[in-house]
Amino acid sequence: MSDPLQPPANWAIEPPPPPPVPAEEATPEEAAEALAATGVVTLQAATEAELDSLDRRLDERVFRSMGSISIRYVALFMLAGLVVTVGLFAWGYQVYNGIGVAGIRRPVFWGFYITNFVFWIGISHSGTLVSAILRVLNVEWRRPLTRAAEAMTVFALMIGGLFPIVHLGRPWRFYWMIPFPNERGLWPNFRSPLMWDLLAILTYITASSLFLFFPLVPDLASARDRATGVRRFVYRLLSLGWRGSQQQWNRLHLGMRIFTIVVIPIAVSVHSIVSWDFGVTQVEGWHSSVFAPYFVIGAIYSGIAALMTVLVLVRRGLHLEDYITLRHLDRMGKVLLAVSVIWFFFFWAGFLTDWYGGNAISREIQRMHMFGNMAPLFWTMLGVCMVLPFLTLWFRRVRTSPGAILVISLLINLGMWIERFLIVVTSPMRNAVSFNWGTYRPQWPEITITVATFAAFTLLYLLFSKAFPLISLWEVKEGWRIDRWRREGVMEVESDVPSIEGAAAGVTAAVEARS
Amino acid sequence: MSERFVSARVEGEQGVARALQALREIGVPRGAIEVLSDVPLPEAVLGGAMKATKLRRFTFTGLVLGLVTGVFFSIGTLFLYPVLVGGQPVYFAPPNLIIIYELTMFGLVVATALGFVFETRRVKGGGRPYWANVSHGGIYVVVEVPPDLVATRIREALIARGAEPVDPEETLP
Amino acid sequence: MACYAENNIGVSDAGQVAMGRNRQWIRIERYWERTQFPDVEARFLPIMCQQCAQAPCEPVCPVFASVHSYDGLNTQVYNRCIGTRYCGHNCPYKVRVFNFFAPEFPAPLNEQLNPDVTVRSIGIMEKCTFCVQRIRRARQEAEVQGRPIYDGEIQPACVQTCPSGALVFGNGVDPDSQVSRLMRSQRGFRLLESFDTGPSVVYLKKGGTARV
Repeated sequence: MSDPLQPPANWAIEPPPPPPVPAEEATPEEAAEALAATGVVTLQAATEAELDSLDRRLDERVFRSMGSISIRYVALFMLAGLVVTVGLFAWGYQVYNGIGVAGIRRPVFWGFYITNFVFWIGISHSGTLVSAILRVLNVEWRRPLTRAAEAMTVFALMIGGLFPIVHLGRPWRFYWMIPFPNERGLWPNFRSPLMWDLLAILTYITASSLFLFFPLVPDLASARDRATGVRRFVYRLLSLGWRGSQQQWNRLHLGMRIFTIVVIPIAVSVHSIVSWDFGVTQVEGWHSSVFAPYFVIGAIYSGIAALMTVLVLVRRGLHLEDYITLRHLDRMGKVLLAVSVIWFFFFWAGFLTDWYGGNAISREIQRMHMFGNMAPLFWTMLGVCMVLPFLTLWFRRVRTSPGAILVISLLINLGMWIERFLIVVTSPMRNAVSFNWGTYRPQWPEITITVATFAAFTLLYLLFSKAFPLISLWEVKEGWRIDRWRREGVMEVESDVPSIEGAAAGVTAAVEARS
Repeated sequence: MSERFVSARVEGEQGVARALQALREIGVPRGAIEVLSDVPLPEAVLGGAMKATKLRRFTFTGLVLGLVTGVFFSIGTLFLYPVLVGGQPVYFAPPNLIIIYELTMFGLVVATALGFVFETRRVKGGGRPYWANVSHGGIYVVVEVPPDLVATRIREALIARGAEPVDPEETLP
Repeated sequence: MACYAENNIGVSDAGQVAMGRNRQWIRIERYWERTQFPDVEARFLPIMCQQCAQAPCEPVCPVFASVHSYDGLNTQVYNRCIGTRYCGHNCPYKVRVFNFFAPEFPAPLNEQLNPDVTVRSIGIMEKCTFCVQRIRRARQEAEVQGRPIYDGEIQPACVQTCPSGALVFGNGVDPDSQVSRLMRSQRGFRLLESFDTGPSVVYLKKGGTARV
C-alpha cells in the first residue's frame, strides 16, 4: 500500500524525470508516444518534431471524439432529451393552468424556482473562476480546463436565466421588464433589484458567451480545415476568416485580456446583485449585509464543484485522461478545499451574528434550522459543504481519485442547493407577524422542472461536445511551447523595431529569450 | 504576371526568425509580412509586434456608450416619468450606480466583441492566401509584394534562408 | 365579507385555503391571551393594507405596479403586474394577496360583481385599497357640487358594515375629523413600528382611562 502522501509511481511532479532517451532509429512519433505515456504534464519534448507529433496526437484525439457517436452517447442523449421534454410539458401545464399548480403560497411566495435560479447562476461562476481568474494569474495548469469551464458558464446562465420567467404569475408579460420605448410611456422600475438582476445577467451572459466564443475561433478554424459538407460551411462561417496570422493572434490575445479583466468584476457583481434580491428586503433572515460576499463565495464554491464533476465525466467519456490529468484534479481539489474554508467563514459570520444578537424572528428561523423541521436539511448541508471537504480533500489520495472527486463534488452541489433552498424558503416561512407563518410544500411541476434543468444542462453539454472541441487546443499547445521556451530559450532576432506595446502580452511574458 | 503575394513554408520558429531576417534585409516593411501558424509565436521570434491593433478604440467607445445608456436609464427615465415609490427620493444614488455600472460593462463587452469581429474580417481587396496545413502545424510566411520590390527577389531571399515557396491553396475569407 | 362583495374578490376553495392561499384583503387575526379553559380570552386584530407612507412593497416591484398615489394611498396597478411576488415578500404585515389561480365566482355571486372595481385575472397581486373607488366617487361628487368632503362621507366597505363601529375612516390631515381625534389618543399604537414603514392605520388599545 503506497503512502498516500507520496505521488504514485507512474507520474512525477517536480522535477520531472529525464525523458526516455529515444534510440537512434526511433522516429519522432515513437519518441513522442514514449513521452506521453509517462503522463507528465510538462513535456520535455526536445525537438520540434516531437512537439509537433504531440500536437497532432491531441488534435486527432479531440477531433475523433467530435466526429464519432457512440451508443453510450445516443443513450444519454435520448434520456436527457426525454427528461427535458417532460419538464417542458410540466412548464406548459403550469403556464396553461396557472402558477397555482406550484406549491408557493402566502407567505412563501418564492420556492423551488428561485432556489434553482440562484443555484444555476452560482454554477455559472465556475467558468469565471477557472478561465478568467486563473488566466489573469497566468496559472499554466488551467489550459486544458478553460473550454469546459466556459461552456459550463454559458449553459448554466442560459438555464438560470429562464427561471425568473418560469416563476412569474403572468410569464407572457415578462418583456415588460425590458426597457424599451413604448406607447404606454412606461419604463421599468430600476430601483427594483429584479431589474438589476435582468441587466446583470444580460451583461454576464453576453460577456461569457463572447468569452467562450473568442478563444474558440482558432479551434473552429482547425475544425474547418478538417470538416466536409455542411459542417465545413458552418465552421467557416463561425471562424470569422481566421488564418492564424500573428496580427490575428495579437488581437485575440488583447481581446482576451480585456475580456478576462472585465468578466471578473461582472461575475462578482452578478451574484452580489442576486444576493441583494434578498438582502435589501425587510424579511428577517434575508436582510443581512453579509449576503453579497457569502453568495459570491458560495457561487464560486458550487461552480468549482460542478466543474470538477463535469471534468471527471468528460475526461472519462472522451478519453482525455492524458490532457486533463490527475494533477489537474489534484490542483482543483486544493482550490476547492480553500474555497470551502472561505465559504464556511462567511457562513459562520452570518450565523454567529444572527444567533448572538438577532431579534426574535431571526432566532426562531435559526431554531427551525438547527432543531426544528428544517434540521435534517440544515445538518446535511453543513456536513456535506463543510465537514466532508475538510475530512477528505486534505489527502492527495482522495484528490487524485476521479471516483472520489465525482462523489464529493456531487455531494457538495447537493449541499449548496439545500443551502439556497434554506435561505430562499425558510426565511419567509417565519416572518414578522406570527399569524402569517406557513410551510412550503413543493408540488410536482416544480420538482419536474428542477430535474429537467439538470437534464437540459447535460443535453446542452452533449451537443457542445460534438460540435466544438472541449479542450482549448491552441492554448494547450501554446502551454507546451511556453514550457519548452522557458527551458531552452528562443533564438532572438535582431530587430530595429521596438516591441510595440499593443501586442500580445500573455504569451511573451513567460518567455526568456537568449540569442 | 504580377503577383500580389509571395508565400513560403518554413520549419519551426527558427525558420520563421531566419525568414524574417531575410525579408528585413531586403527591405520589406513589417506591415507587409504575415506569419501564419497554429499556435501564437512569441514576440522574441518575430522581433517585435507585427502590426498595431485598433481594438482598444472599440473598447473605449463601448465603455462610453454603455455609460451614457446607463445614465439615461437610471437617471434620464426618472426625469421623463417620475414615479414615487416607497418613500424613497425619486433620484436615488445606489440603484443608479448599479445600473450605470452594469450597462457600462455591457457596452464595453459588446463593443470589444464587435471590434474583434470587425478587425478579424477586415481585408482590403479580396482574400488572402491560406493553407489547411496551418491547422496541422505548418508555419507559412506570406509577403504582400510592396511596390518597390519584385516578387522573384523576395522569393530568392526566402529560399536562401531555407524557406520553401508554395502557392496558395485557398483564400480566406 | 363586505370587502369581498365590494371589491370582487374571488372565492377560494377549501384546498387552496388549507395551502394558505386565501384571498381576503382584510383578515381578523386572533391572538389568545389566556388559553386555560374556562379562563380563555382572545384578542382580535383586523389587519388590512396599512397604506404605508414608506411602503417597502413599492420600490421592489420591477414594473412599477405598486406606486404611491397623491393622496397617500399605496396603489396596486393590476394591469401592470407580471406576478413576481416580490412585493408580497417585502410587506412585513403580509397583507398582499396573490391570485394563484383566476378568481372564481360560483353562481349566483357572479351576478353581483361591483362594476366600479376591476376583476383581476390570474397571476396578479392585489390588496386592500381603502375602497379607492368610493374615495374617488366622493371626491368627484364633492368637486361637482363645489364643496369639501364631509367627515364620514367616505366609508370603505368594512367601515360601513362593522356593526360596532370599530373601524373609523376619514381625513387624517384635517385636525377636527373624528379620525384625527382618535389617532391622537393615548391608546393609539401602530403595528410593527420598528420597521418604520409609516402605516396609516392606528389601533386603539382596550382599557385605560382616556376618554377618547
